[in-house]
Amino acid sequence: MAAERLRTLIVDDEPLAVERMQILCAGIPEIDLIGTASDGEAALRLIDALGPDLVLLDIAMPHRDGIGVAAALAELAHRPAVIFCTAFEQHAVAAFDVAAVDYVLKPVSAERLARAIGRAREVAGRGRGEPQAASSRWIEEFWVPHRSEMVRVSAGDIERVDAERDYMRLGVGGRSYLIHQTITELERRLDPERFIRLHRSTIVRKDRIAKLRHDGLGVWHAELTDGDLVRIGRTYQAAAKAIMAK
Amino acid sequence: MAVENNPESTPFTVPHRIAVLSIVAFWVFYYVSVTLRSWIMDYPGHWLMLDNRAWVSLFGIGFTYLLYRVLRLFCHHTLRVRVAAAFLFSAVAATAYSTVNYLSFYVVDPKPPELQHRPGDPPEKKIVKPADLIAESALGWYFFFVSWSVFYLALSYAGAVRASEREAARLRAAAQTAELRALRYQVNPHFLFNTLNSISALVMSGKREDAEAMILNLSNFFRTSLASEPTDDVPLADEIAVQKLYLEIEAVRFPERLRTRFEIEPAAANACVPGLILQPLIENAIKYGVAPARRPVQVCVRARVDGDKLEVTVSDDGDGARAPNGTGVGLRNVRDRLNARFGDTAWLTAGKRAEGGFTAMLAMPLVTNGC
Repeated sequence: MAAERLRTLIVDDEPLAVERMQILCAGIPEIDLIGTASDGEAALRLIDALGPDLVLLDIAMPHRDGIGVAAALAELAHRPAVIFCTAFEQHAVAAFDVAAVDYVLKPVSAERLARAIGRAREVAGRGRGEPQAASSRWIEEFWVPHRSEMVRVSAGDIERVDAERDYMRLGVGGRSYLIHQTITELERRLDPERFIRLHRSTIVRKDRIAKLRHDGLGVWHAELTDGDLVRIGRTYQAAAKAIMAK
Repeated sequence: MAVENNPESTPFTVPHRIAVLSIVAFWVFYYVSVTLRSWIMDYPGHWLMLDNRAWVSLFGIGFTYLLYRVLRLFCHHTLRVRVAAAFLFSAVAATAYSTVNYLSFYVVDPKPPELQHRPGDPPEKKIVKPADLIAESALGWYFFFVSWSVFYLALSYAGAVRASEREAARLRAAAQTAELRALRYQVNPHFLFNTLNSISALVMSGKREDAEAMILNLSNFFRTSLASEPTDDVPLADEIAVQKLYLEIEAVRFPERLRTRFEIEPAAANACVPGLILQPLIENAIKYGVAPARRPVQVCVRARVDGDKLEVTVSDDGDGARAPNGTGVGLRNVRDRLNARFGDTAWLTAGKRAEGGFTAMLAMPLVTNGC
């Protein structure tokens, strides 16, 4: 299995971007380039006809963008792995709705692309039968901008989410990442078995709550396991008390 | 410097020259009007009093000047304190003046007794103590000094109002400059990274000249957009040159899809326009007209002079969907900049074209010097 080469399709609407990716792929022995497409619909036709193992997918394209292509792939029985290649991280949030193996920023270095392809081989090696993240109702992973890269954050690793104007700050093991998203949308997509909203601008992972504290006059705080206090909004108090009663 | 910029601490002062002039004017007015009255009413011996009155008036000028110096010390206080000071020190000045007046008319150079009282004065008032005389005259003079003090306060407040009006105008101008700065062209990261990606591709595939040309275009474009003063106007010809650079870069990214066309009337080329005012319109044409298309799309820039108006149109024949009636961010930015620069005399109209595509037209006053 490991010796098998990944049959790969490049999808990008800019000819130079396709050319660059072809040159990079030529230097990676695990890649077997089988075609290129310059818009979303052409990409879907080629994927249907050729059944590639891997698609290097641009996001901003005419006639169905990369996100739309990836979403359409979810319905296929034989789903290729997807690596998003985009110039700017504004699409990262949309990309977490569709399972992607990796998310690289253009211009991507040969080394970074090789790492992404290594990851794609791992996924391919595990076999494609297993259910993928996108099939779940709840978000399993986020791609978040970090330095000059996109890094993957598993939803289960998120300890808390704090709203900062138009952005959400995801707290993950002492680090934090900003993503462009509304807290209501995030609350809707996070597994309610694991996460609870405590305030207009705060969501925490349930197992991070050490105890609830009543500070008089109906003001409640949640004390987290790291000692932080989070004020509980009045509309969220009933739900918070209910989970602590369990 | 910091004190000068703070309108709260601007002292209500009157220029020294104006203050002295007002004092002299008050006393000259007094001297002339009293002398005229004596002459018309034909008071006995009024000619003898001319020199006395002149001397006393000079003292009056001196006392008023002292009053002015004292009131000036209160220029940082509130109006209430300044009015109180004006009324209090006017009383002091009036008393001092009346004393000098008494000394002058009754002690230093007394007049013949029959002239010391006007005919018709009640006879019982003939014999009075000096203190009473001084007090009575001080009361009359008090209102003279108070009237000058109030005049002085009025002058200083008028000055303060003018100063704060100037300050308000300066702040308005500063706010407008800040607004123009905020509206200046912001580097579109998507454009930048895609362009770098294209350059990288040209380098990797060994197309050195193409890569070099693109790097130069990109440098020139960014130098113009980053270095230009956002509040400055530029000749339309320069603005068009920058947009051609931009379109040349985009043409490398979209070699099969982007066509450009410029129709600039010679008369329009020298017109002054806000720098980079066309950038959001051209960017929109690329983003919504060219990028989503799979066929060649023409971006056309036209400029013409219509009477005292300059009209610039950016249109494309793509079929991209975009916000109706020009409510998008880019159009709003252009509209705000036009408004900040020209007010109601400039406008932007935008919308779908009947034959397909999108068009945006700027109309602004024709200005041909000053850029």
